[in-house]
Amino acid sequence: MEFLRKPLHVQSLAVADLPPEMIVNILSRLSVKSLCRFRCVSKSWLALISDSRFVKMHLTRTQRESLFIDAENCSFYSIDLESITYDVDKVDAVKLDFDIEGRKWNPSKPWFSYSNGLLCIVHEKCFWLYNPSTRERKQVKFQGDRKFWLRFGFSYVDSTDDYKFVRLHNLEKIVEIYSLRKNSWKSIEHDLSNVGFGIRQWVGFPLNGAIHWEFYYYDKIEEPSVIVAFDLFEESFKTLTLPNIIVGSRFVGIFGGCLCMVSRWGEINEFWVMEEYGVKASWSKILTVNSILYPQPLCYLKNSNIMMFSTSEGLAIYNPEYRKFKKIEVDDIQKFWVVYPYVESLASPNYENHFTTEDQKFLEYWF
Amino acid sequence: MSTPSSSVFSYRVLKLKSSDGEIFEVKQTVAVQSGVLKQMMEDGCTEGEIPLNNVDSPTLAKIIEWCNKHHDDDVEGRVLSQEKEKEKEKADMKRWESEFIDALNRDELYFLLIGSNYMNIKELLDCAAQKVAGMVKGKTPEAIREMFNIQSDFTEEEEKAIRKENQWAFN
Repeated sequence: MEFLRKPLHVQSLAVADLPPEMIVNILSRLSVKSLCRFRCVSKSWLALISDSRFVKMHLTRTQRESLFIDAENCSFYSIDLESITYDVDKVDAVKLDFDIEGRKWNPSKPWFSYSNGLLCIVHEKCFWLYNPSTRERKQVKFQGDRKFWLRFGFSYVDSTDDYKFVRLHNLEKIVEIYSLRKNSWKSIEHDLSNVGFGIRQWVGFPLNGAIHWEFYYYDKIEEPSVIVAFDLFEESFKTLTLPNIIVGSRFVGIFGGCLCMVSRWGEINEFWVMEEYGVKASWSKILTVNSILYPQPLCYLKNSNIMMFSTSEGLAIYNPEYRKFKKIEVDDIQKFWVVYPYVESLASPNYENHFTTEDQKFLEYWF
Repeated sequence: MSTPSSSVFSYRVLKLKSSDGEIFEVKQTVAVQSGVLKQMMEDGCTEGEIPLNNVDSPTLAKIIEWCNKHHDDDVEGRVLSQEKEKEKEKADMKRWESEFIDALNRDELYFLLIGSNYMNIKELLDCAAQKVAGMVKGKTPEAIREMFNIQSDFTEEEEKAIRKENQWAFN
């Protein structure tokens, strides 16, 4: 075993004497804002802070969550989730510097998705990838003249360290896939019938490198509905089972890093999560509440079992200890609808800025 | 405090030798928090003095103080505490940890970082690295260059461009 190393003959140390791996360790604990400022230190610091290994390390280590909000005044806002506790009645929202020019507010448009640090915003003839923490963005235009692309999805793919966007055609069995790493589109055929009738949610939910939609056999009503998942690595569909619930409407989503399902019947709302991905027996009901405000679970508050919800009247939190919902006012924003939890990250929508040969030279120092 | 354990093994001690030649005796059950020492125990090569050439005696004393505090001496003899008690214990430990780290001067802190990294003691390394991160976070790039002894290798135009791109982070 190699434990004999050169002794330290120094009596006094500076942070500069620390080995590179330790400086990487220290920097990976800083906020995105500090790190964006430290890009200006030197070329090797810039290369490190942009490197995908460091971006990953930082994301897993800091886990600072915020909410993304689309407000009625057509602006996007962010709320720091760490500012919310059960004792808080009102929170501040920070206006983000991203706008879609000339749009009118519509609670069901644009479409949003979020994966691994990047938000995806689909609007008419293009989509944007936007990192609200670093303010970086990229616009990607749709191609071709075919109409009726009405199902979308966006996800990080860990195995290839890539982000992919997909859209499904309503009538034809075609899926178009955009790879951020390659910055290119491709079109393939799939084997799922009746996308237009079967999938009611427009935007699928990303988890484990696949996009998930509830799928409904409209022509075989005796068949229970399922989740269809488009695997972005295999580039094919697979099926996952839902809990057996006969009545009510259903919505599939993501909650606490798991697939979740909300079932509604009158004012009864049941919340289910699939604790082990792909294992039918692991579906478990975590909560039942009576509410007519369409509560949709967003996330847990950090290190607690207090749940954050979006409702038709805004934000609410639920404390299982008191079994009660409590409304949270958002300063200056009256009306909003789309709310997404996201994690502060250095993830960049502009891959091509990195991975240059010069960067590699500056990275050698760190890794 | 601790009652005698049924296992004789837990009272075997390791002899750790610091870079300045001082010997420290540490119970195996405490030393196991160090990934390096744990591996050596598993490989059965802990006979005699174990030289730790990257750790001087004041640092090693601090590291052992940390490990002793974080070592649950008497797991078998203790009744499982209630949820509330556990939370209190956790909070007490957090307070102890921050007092421990805050009491160090800079040299001690950096030596502790190197020592805990070298001995692979994850929790201590985390705690010390978090402390240094707190010292670094609000600084300007100029202050960082000074602190880390770095010369900027940007050209004037490059620096102007990169600053413009990240201007928001300076406010």
